[in-house]
Amino acid sequence: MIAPVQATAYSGRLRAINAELSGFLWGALVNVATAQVSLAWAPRAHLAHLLVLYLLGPVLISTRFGLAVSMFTVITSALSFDYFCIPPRFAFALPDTEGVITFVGMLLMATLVCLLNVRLRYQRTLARSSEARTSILCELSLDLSEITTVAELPTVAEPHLKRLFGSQARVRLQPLIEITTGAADRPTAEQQLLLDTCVDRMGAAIERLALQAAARKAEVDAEAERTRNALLSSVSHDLKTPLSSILTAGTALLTHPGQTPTQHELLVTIVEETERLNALLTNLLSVTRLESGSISLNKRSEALDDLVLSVLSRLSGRLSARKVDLRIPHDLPLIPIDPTLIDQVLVNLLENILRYTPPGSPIRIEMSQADQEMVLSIRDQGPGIPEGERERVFEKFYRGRGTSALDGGTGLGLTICRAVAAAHQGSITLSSPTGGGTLVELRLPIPDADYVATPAVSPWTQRSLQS
Amino acid sequence: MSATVLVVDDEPPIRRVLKATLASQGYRVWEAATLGEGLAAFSARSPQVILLDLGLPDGEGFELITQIRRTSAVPIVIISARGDEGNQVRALDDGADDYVVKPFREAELLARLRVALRDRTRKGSQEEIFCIGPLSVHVSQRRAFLNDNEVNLTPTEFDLLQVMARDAGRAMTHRQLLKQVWGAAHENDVQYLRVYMKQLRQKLETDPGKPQLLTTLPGVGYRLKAPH
Repeated sequence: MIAPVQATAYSGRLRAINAELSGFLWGALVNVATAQVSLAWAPRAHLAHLLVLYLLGPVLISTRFGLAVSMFTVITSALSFDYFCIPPRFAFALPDTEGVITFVGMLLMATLVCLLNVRLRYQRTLARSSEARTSILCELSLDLSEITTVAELPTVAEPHLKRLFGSQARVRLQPLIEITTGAADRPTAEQQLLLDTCVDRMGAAIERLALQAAARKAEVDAEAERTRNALLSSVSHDLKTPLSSILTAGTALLTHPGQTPTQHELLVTIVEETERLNALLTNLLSVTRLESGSISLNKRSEALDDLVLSVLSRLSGRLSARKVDLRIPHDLPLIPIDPTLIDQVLVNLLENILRYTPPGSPIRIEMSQADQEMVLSIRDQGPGIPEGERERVFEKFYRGRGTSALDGGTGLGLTICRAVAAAHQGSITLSSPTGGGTLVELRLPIPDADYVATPAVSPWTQRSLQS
Repeated sequence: MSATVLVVDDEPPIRRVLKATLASQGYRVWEAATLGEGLAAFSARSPQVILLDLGLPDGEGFELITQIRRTSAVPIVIISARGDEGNQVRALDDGADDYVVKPFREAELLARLRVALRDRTRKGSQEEIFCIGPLSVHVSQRRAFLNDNEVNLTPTEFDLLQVMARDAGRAMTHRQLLKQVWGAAHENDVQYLRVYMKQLRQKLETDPGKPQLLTTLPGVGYRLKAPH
C-alpha cells in the first residue's frame, strides 16, 4: 500500500527570504534608534547604563527574528556602542582593560541571550507546526473513516493534504497510492515521514473498505445459503411426507389377510415404486445440495467397514441370491467421513450392481489401507463398461448404452458418488479388470495419526465396576 | 394388546395412516398436531408410548422430550427424516427411546413400538438374565452364552454387551454407550467403541461380515437385536 512519494517543498520560500530581509532592516532600525537615544543621553549617563541600552535592541530583535538577524544586530550594536559611547567617542577605539572586560562580557551575554531566544522560538515553532500537522492528520483519519467507497477517498483526503503539502498536493490511487505535491525538490526526512504517514492512513482506509465489503459479501452469501437450504429442506419435507404416508399405508395393507394374488401384486408395486421414488428423490436432493457447492459435510470418525456392513444388511433381501465375497482387514482405522453421504454412495454402487449385472452373479468387496488412503473396491461379474463410457457415466443424467428406460436407473447415482468422494478429498474410478466385470474403487484420505485405530487400552483398570 | 399411543405429528395424512395402521394392530391411538397439543394430550391421556415428529409448527420435538422427561419415563419413538442423524442422536441423548426414519414400512414401526413397550414393562425390574436369540447374558455371574456355549469375553467386552443387552432392540448412541461403559470422561472416544464392537462381533456373530445381532446405525450408534 505504501507508494513512492513525490517531493514537496514550501511554496513560500520567497516569503521566507522577505522575512529575513525585513529582519535585517529591523535590526538596523533598532540600532539607529538606540544610537539616537544614547546620543541624547550619553553626556549625562554612565557607560554601564548605556551598555544596558545597547543590549536591549539585540535581545528584542532575537525574540522576533532568526540567528543571522540576531547576530547581525548584536555585532552592529556592539560596533555602534564602541563608536558612540566608548571614549574617545565617534571613533572605533579600544577602551582601557577594565572597559574591555565589561565590553566583551556584555557582548558575550548579549550573544548568549540572543541564541537562547532564537532557540526557544525555533522549538516553539516546531512544536506548533507538529501540533498543527497532528491535528490535520487526525482530521484526515477521521474523515477517511467515514468514506464508504474508494472513489470518495481523493475528494476527502485532498483538502487535508493541501494544508500539509501545499496547494499542488494531489492523490492518485492507481496503480499505488501516491501523493504528488508539485514541488521539484526531494522532500526532507520530516516531510517524507509525513507523506508516508498520510499514505499509510489512506491505505488503512482502503483496507477497511475491503474488509467491510468482504464481510457484507459473506453475509449475503450466508443469507443465500440459508434460503437455499430452507428451500431444499422444505421441498424435501413436502415430497417425503406424502411418500411416507403411502409407504406406511401400502406396507400395512400388504400384511392384511385375504388378498387376491392380483391385489397383492398391485400392493407390492405400490410399495416398491414408492421406495424407488424415495430413492430418486433422495438422489435428486443430494445432487442439488452437492452441486450448489454449499454442502457442509457432517464429518465424524467412522469405520467405513461398519458402514459397508450396515448397507449390506439393509440390502440383504435383494442381495440374498448373490454371493458376496467380503475381504475386510480387522485393523482398519477410523476415517472422518459424513456417514449419511458415504452410506448413499455405497447404496448407489450396490444398486447399480443389482440393476446391471446378471441375477445371481457374485460381488467382491475388498477394503485396504494404502498410505494415507483408505481404498474400498467393489467388483462385479457383469458385462463391464466400455472404456469410452467410463468417464461419461459420472455425468449427470448420462446413462450407459447397456441400460434401459425401464431398469429404474436415474443417471444420478454415480454423479453423486463422485461428488461425495470429491467433497471428502477422495476419488472414485471405474475400470475393467482382466476376467471381466467392473471394478469400482473409492479412495478416501486418512488424515493423520489421530484417526488410526489405536486399540484402546482397556480402561477396565481405571473405572469402577458397572452395576 | 391394547396399549395406548400418542401420535404427535403436524401432517394430517401421516396421522391418519398411523392411526389406521396402529388401530388395526390393536393399539388405542390419540393424536396431536402441535407441541402444545402433544403436552396437553400427554397429561390428559397418559399414553403408554409416544410417536413424535421433531419438526412441529410451534416448536421443536426436543422441547417435548425434555418436558415429558421431567415427570415421566414413557417411551418416546422419534419419527424423523433421512439425513437427519444429528437430530436423531440429539433426541436419543435427550431421552427419546428410539427412532424410525421416514418413509418407513409398517413392520419397522411396529417393531420399534414393540421394543419401546417392552422397555416400559421391563424398566425398573432387576433382570439378571437377558436372552437375545441364541445369546444369553448373565449379569451377576458376568458370563455370556451363545447357543449354550460360554463365550470368553474380556471385562470391557462384557460390560459393553450387558449395557446393550439391557436395552436390546433399542437404538443406543455412541455417547450413551461410551458413558455407560467407559464413563462420562470418555463419551467422545468413539474409537474405543469401534474396537470393542468389532471384537464383540468376532466373538458373537456367526458371520461377522453379516452381523445379525449387533447392527450399526450409521452416524447414530448401534442396536442389539431385540429379544423375541
